[in-house]
Amino acid sequence: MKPPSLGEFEELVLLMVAALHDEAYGVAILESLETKLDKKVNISAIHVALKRMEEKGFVKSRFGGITSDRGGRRKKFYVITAFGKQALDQQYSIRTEIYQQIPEISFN
Amino acid sequence: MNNNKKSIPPRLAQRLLEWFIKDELAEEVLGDLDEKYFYSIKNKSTTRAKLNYWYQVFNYLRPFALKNYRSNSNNLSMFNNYFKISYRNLLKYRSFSAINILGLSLGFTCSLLIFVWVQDEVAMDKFHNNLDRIYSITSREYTGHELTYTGYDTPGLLGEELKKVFPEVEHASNISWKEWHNFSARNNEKIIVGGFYAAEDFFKIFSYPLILGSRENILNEPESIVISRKMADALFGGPEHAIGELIKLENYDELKVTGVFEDHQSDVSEKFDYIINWRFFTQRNEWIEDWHNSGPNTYIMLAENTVAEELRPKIKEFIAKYDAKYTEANHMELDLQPYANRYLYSKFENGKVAGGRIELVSLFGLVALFILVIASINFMNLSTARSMRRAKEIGVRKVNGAKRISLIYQFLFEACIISSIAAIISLLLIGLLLPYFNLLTGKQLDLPINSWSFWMMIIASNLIVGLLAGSYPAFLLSSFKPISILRQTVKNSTYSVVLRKGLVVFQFGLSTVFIAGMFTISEQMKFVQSKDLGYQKDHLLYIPLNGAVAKNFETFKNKSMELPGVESMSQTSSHLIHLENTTSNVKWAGKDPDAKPVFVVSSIGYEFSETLRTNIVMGRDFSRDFNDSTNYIINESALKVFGFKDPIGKSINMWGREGQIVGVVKDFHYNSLHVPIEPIILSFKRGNRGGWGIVRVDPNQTIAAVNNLEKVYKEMNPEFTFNYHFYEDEIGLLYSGEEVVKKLAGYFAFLAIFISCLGLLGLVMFTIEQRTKEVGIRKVLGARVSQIATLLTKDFVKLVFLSILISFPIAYLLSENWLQGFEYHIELKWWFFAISGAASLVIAIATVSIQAIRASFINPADTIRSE
Repeated sequence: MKPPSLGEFEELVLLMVAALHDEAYGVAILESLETKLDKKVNISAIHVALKRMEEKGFVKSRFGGITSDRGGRRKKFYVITAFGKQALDQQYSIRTEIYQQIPEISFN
Repeated sequence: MNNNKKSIPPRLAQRLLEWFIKDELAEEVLGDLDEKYFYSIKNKSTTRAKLNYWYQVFNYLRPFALKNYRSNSNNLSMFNNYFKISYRNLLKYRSFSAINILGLSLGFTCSLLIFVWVQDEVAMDKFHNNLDRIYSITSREYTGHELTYTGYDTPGLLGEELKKVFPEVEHASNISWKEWHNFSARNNEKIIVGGFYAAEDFFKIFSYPLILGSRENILNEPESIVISRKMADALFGGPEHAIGELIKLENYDELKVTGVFEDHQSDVSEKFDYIINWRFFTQRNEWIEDWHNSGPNTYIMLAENTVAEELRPKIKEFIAKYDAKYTEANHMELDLQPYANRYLYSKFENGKVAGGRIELVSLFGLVALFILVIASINFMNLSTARSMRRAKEIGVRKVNGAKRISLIYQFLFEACIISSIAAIISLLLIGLLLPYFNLLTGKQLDLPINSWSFWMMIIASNLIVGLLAGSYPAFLLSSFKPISILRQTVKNSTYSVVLRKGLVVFQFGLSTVFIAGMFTISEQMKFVQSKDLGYQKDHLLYIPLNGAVAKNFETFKNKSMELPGVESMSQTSSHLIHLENTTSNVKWAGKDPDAKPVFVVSSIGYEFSETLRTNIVMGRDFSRDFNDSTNYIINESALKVFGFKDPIGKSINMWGREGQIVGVVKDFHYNSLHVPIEPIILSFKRGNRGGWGIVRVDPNQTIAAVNNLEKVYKEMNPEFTFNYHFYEDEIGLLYSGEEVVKKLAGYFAFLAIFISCLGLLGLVMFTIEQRTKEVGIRKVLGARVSQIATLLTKDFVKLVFLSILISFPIAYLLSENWLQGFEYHIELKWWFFAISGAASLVIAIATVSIQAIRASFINPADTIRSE
């Protein structure tokens, strides 16, 4: 079965969720993405992406412990699912494949 | 670390977020936002952090995060239900919904179009910065103690003098009548445009936007001319090249361009392409410098904080001091009219403002309102008639605890939904129709989509129609008692039946009035077009005379007559269908010394009656065989005033010039049929400047004639542009307003009857539906199709008949009133009304009987099979 589509921003968030492994929650993803991309990202955009990917089955979530920084609220941690990993792999291989087809000559 | 109050995330934003965000998201989102907030407080300022928090909160206003209200709020779910029920009802009774929506949207379209038009009319000339301080001077002229003239004609010296005498008058300017002239630049570019002569203050009073030149000194020199962008483009290739350049007026006088103004938008009522200094005008028209003569208009701008009411009594008898011929019996009074009112209120009766264009504007406004009312009536009628269908729903709702008020809300809501759909459709329709409407009215109207008031108007009219049309059904239906509804003992109350009938009568009455009105207007216009004007208006053209052609008119005439196509030619000093110069300075033997009759004066050349094909009743035309230079030709009306038995050879004295009457011409119409034919004295045209050539051309060689005339004209006048018009076209222009009204009245009448019929159709369909079983049983018992059809249509036809009877007197009064605007008009005939009544009756019967006949053909087995 073809996995559901994965948008560009969603892909970035999913990559970050995978990279942060078990430590991935809203603000953490936001900050890492902001440092990597070197631009401002909206927290709401990240939440939208996370919710959508959860519906598609790319990530799953659980609540963590209470922290004082968050006004007594729990963090919500995200981990990538096997299905999500598969989607990432597929995206990666398609890109590499096309990338390798670029003929050298076009840059000379 | 940050424990003071300021470091807490904004409460309000938090609450807002909690209010609208999904519960399952709340903890995560709020937590992340808080964390982000504290993080940014450490790095940035608190304000920035708070702003960012707010910004982020608004970012959650998207579908994924919003609470699903359907299950949450009782009120909203009720509205949801209303919406659903209206939607289902709309779909279930498709034909009724279509009738309702179609009727309403036609009504909206018509009234919105008229609204846009009315708005445009009201905005005319209102853009001037000091509008509230600008006034027109109006005058009342008394001749022999009698009020003979009220209007805007004032002495040409008035403006300057008013400014000198009254400190309240800040600026004042006389303005000439509009004159069309040939202008040429040094590079030989030419243009014919119309404009005015006005004093230095003109551009200080009026805020016509200037491109170049300063308002302060733009018209200071007697040779100054200020031109429009259009004229600057045509003569100099752009405004920037125009300043300081010289322009030749009629290839004779030189004028210097001192300014350029922007081309007029559609909000200027009297458009012009040039303004020339007033002194230039008076130098060439010395009679203007006499307080006893009037003609130019005068405008003043009051100083700030001046009350016009205080100035009015002071200027009333202003002229007395200056006019040497001033007497108690013959004098002129002055008054003020706010310039803002001038466009719409320019008609005077008995010395007072008596309307003008405002009559047309309010007439159209009224028509728009009536059509909207007719459309709303459909809506009310159909909803009350069909109330029985909704009765069970109401009963069940009430049993389940619905309050009356919530049922009222429900029906009002439904009505508003239908009217909103109609409004949206009508907006689309207007978009489609506007170009045609513009063609019809000769305006450049746009849908004012940026205008706040336009949208308010749409929403307001939408709500008003929805609420008014919906209110009666809403209150009626919600008052039903559940017990009687569910036991099916409720009947349509007699009150509602009477109301329904009354509304149908009203609708058809109005429609019949519209049809009769349309009939009267088109009959009168037919009369106007076919009326014998006293001369033959077709194949008659006129040429403005100037330069060498004016000077040597006889040469021009002889040369042109040699060429094919030109049958005969004459000339006049003033335009034949706008004879406006009058005099009372005429003396003759046997004149009543107290009487001061007014004569229209003009002068004409040889072959006048031959060219016009008027009838000379007595005597002869001016002729080369006699010395006619001091003689006169009069018309029949003038003959009546003189009272001569045998007029030929009698002497009259006009302006101190003694001459004999050599001919009496049959009365001919020299203006529109709105005004009566006045006594005319025609003298022999001596002047060699200006005037108009009149040419009778061969009907079979019109084009050849025009080409030949142009050739001869160009030969004699190479520096002028040849210009000609047909009298027939010019006469048509006199009635252009009536033509528009005629066309619009046709459309309105059609719309009104169409919408009324839609409503009737709906009612008939409903009645028939209710009586299907009855029809079935009657058929089984042996009733014929014709009997059943009669039974079903009878009631409606009676109503329509009644409405027609009621409409007759109203239609008669309105038509008679309109016709009074014409001095020469048709008599109202009984058959106008008979035909319009018959028309609405036939249309109504056709609408009703098609349905009735269809119903009576239904096989009774289908309708009474099941109970």
